[in-house]
Amino acid sequence: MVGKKALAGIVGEENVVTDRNILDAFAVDKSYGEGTPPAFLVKPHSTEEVQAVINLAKSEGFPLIPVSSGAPRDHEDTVPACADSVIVDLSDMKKIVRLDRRNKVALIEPGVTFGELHAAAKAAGLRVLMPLLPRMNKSVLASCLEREPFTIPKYQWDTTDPLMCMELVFGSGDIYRTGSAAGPGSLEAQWETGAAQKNPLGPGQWDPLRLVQGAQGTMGIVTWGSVKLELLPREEKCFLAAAEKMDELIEFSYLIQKFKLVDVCFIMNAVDLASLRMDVVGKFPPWVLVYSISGYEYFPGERIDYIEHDIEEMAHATGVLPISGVAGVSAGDIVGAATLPCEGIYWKDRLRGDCRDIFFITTLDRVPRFLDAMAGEAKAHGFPEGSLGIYIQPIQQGRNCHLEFNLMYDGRNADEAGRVRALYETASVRCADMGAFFSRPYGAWAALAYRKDQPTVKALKMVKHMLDPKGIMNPGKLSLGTEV
Amino acid sequence: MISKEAVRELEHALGAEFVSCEPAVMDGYAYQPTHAEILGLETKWCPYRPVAVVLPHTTEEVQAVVRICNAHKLQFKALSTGWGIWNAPGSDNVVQIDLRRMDKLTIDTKNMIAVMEPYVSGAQIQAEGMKSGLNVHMVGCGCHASPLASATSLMGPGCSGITTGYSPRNVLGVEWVLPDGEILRLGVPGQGNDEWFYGDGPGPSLRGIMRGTLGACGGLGVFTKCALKLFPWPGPAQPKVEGVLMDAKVEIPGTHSSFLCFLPNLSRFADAFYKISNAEIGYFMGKHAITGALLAGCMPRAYKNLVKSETVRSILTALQNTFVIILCGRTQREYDYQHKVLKQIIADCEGFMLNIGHVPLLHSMLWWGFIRNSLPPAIFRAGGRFTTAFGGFETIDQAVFQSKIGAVIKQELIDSGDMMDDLADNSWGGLYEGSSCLAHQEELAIFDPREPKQNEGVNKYIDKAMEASTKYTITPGIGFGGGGAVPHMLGPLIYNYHHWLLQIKETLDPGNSADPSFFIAPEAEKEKYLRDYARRRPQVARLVEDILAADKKRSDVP
Ligand SMILES: Cc1cc2nc3c(=O)[nH]c(=O)nc-3n(C[C@H](O)[C@H](O)[C@H](O)COP(=O)(O)OP(=O)(O)OC[C@H]3O[C@@H](n4cnc5c(N)ncnc54)[C@H](O)[C@@H]3O)c2cc1C
Repeated sequence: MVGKKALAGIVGEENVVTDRNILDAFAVDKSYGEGTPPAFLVKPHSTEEVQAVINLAKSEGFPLIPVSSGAPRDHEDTVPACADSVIVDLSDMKKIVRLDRRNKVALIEPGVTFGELHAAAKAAGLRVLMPLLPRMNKSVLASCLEREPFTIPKYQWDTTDPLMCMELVFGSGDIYRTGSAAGPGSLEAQWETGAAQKNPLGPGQWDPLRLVQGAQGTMGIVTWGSVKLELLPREEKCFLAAAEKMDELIEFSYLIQKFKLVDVCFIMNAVDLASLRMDVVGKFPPWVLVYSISGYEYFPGERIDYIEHDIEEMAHATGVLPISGVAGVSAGDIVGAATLPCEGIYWKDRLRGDCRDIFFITTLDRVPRFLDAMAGEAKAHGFPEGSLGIYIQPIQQGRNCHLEFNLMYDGRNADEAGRVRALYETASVRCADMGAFFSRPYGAWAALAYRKDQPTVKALKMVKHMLDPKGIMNPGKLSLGTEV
Repeated sequence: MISKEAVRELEHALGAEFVSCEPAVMDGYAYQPTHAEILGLETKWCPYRPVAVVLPHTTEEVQAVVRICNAHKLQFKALSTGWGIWNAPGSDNVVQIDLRRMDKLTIDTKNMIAVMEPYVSGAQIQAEGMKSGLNVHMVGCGCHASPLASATSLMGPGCSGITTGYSPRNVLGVEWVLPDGEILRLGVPGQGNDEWFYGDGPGPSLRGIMRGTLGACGGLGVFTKCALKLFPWPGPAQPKVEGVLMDAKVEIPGTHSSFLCFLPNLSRFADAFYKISNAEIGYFMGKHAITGALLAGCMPRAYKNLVKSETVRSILTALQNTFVIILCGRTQREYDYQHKVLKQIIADCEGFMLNIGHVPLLHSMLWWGFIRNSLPPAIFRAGGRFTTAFGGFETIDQAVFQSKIGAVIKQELIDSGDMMDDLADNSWGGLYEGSSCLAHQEELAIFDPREPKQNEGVNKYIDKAMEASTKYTITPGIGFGGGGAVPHMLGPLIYNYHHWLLQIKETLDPGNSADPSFFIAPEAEKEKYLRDYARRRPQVARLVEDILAADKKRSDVP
């Protein structure tokens, strides 16, 4: 086991945490992950310190688990699977290195949270492409690395968005830069010629960013990244389309996204909506499609006006009625609530105190069959309909979607928690059998996601061996093995 | 040489009529009409002929070919539609896999996805897509080229990029025959349900080893199928067109029009691009050096004389900072709004614009030429050949900077009589991904390969462009694609990316059976590749010697 002294020699005595309460808390998280408490937690403050920690881990043979966001932790990806691990906590690396209004991009360190970037971007007339109500202390880069969906699908041209370039230290100990940030030249020299680290491809004939994204910290540690931002609308008008059944919204949803007419766009059932807006007294309809139309720098009102009329025609043709509010709450309030970092109690925990999520990628036309299957499973497990939140986030401009079931429950009630766990496990398998694509295979989902795709596992192991030859980076995740 | 035994096995696997070793056929594959100059070649003949050409029909047949090549220590190299030097064999031991019999296409209209085999052209996908209000991204090569080849294996810029993105970022799933003949399917197709709607994961995305800014150019196996994103087409399901190319006559919807926008200088030009990107208007948009390549393409002979007149020259130069934008409204309301915004932007940037819609015949030719992407071959009219440099994908400001530097280099070569006079700044480039403010600009150079001095001039241009890229810290675009020696030269300046390419190559293809000549020279062949490169490009000989000397020094250390 590594000694405190060696770590302190790199990050400084004050940045090595030995408090058992803090360390033991890492052995479990909000999900079903159960692991081994880490030996230490270190807080590096520079790329060089991160590299030195990795090199030490390589030579001494101990596992590293990178974390960037504040607690609570979820999804099992930061629960150490092996003994004697060290948590590399990047939350102190908090610099917004550059915010470029002209090129709409921010270069940030991993400790920068949504709350912080949102405030800085807003001051520059820009907005952050954010997941639905992220926790205030959620790291922007960690969210990007996890491929969390964001609420404005028209701005997602590729799965890597909004992450553009990054600097990282591979498990091999090599410092690397991806995309156009790789050079030639330093960042400063690149800025001089008008570049802003916006090309995510490469360098050359490989795309390391894609190998690190979705890797749950198994390939390396990111020390900064550039994320694309978009203009804050000058004007905005928000709408809802309500339906008894989700199917009724599909055609309309496809249409408004195909032509990139809307900004914010997602579908929710009444349970999730109620969790977003606990203050609403009335009753939400079973399904609601939420969308916004924006006007930017030129004639903003006229842009909203023409799009509103075009959408009205689409709504008419598809039997949908756009409305400006429901149950006493305006569409604007819902969009407002959904597009800010979440203050206070996390929104999914508001209704029952706890929540377990099942999420995967599918397409909008495939969603109804998953809804039926989930309803069947919930019933079979005696799970109340009123606690099953459903959130459908179109991604990649509507070509596919993130479908999320939120199983809300009271975690203090052991019986209920047990039933939720059983439901979670069987429903995950059932959805996988039906073609659900667990693109972010946390915990037990890894086995489900890879069971039919051994060639991918083989290729991933090869990549892992190349980038992290000693296997020190978060071993035990993604079916990539636990050997350090 | 290929053994009789190997030929027999190939014939057995594919059928004798789909395997050829005929010298005349081999010559056909060794003749590369475009971009031979990036290898420093002064003729269109490549250094190597394939030893055999095979035409597989299915993925299983591709696997069989790859396995036979492995068993007989042959290399193989795929081509889809074959529009450039990158598909040429890199040694005298290569079986060329011509994929022209793999031409199936299916379209998922709801989810805007096309699943295609290699020999499906952009024009075919577009024609089918338009029936459902969809379009596909095509690169500036033209509508005859394979979108699969571009997206999986080569580059990616094209002038509808503001709407249709950039080839490598449009991939939603891939079927890939690895160098050992095994199949890897990326994303959802890997689950075995023949579904093609998402290309990344589970977990890390193996698209990261498939390609980067540039593809592996056949150096990592064969892509037999891929899913690409389609994009909205707010126009007729079947445009009514008569005639081709410059003579095309077509009915243009009342809610579409094309504009030539002239800006007073490059700084206002860049501002206009930023404003258009931020306003989220426009369907098609590109800088087209209207007074250079386009005019030269339209009237190749007259052009050479026109530029000799000082007066005409001064007019053409004053109009050089030009771009074409096509507005395609789905409704009249949308068109009216976009038109109003465009007018205001051009006014704010102190430019002026011409609505080509007022010149119906010209509009017909341009509108269809751009939407169908049928005009690129016109580039060959003025000189017979062209080359290109820069083209790094970055912000608008950096793209504009690239064409600025390119023009300076070209002007010097024009002045010294080494290049045809095309007014120096002859760049073309697009705006990409709507509001993303991403752009690329390549500085084109038209040349006449029958003129030895121009051949030499083009080589000088390519070398100077590479030198400028490093001096001015410009992210390489075309520069990455100069062949297997290039990563060894650029790598040390760019985080040693060549080390990682070598590892990928060695792990996926330890026997080096997939022709690496446009990917990366394996360590064992590095010296040969570098010396070949230096022989054809004397300007880099010094750099090559430095690299080899450094290698030697390293290997001398006990
Ligand atoms: C006039 C002209 C203009 C051009 N402009 C552009 C441009 O604007 N943007 C741009 O990106 N490119 C451009 N190109 C370059 C290039 O030709 C194109 O990129 C084109 O898209 C690729 O199609 P292709 O028919 O040339 O591909 P091919 O020649 O078939 O293949 C290109 C490369 O990919 C490999 N490859 C092809 N298919 C497969 C496969 N199935 N599996 C594995 N490897 C494969 C080949 O070995 C080769 O290395 C231009 C070319 C010309 C002639």
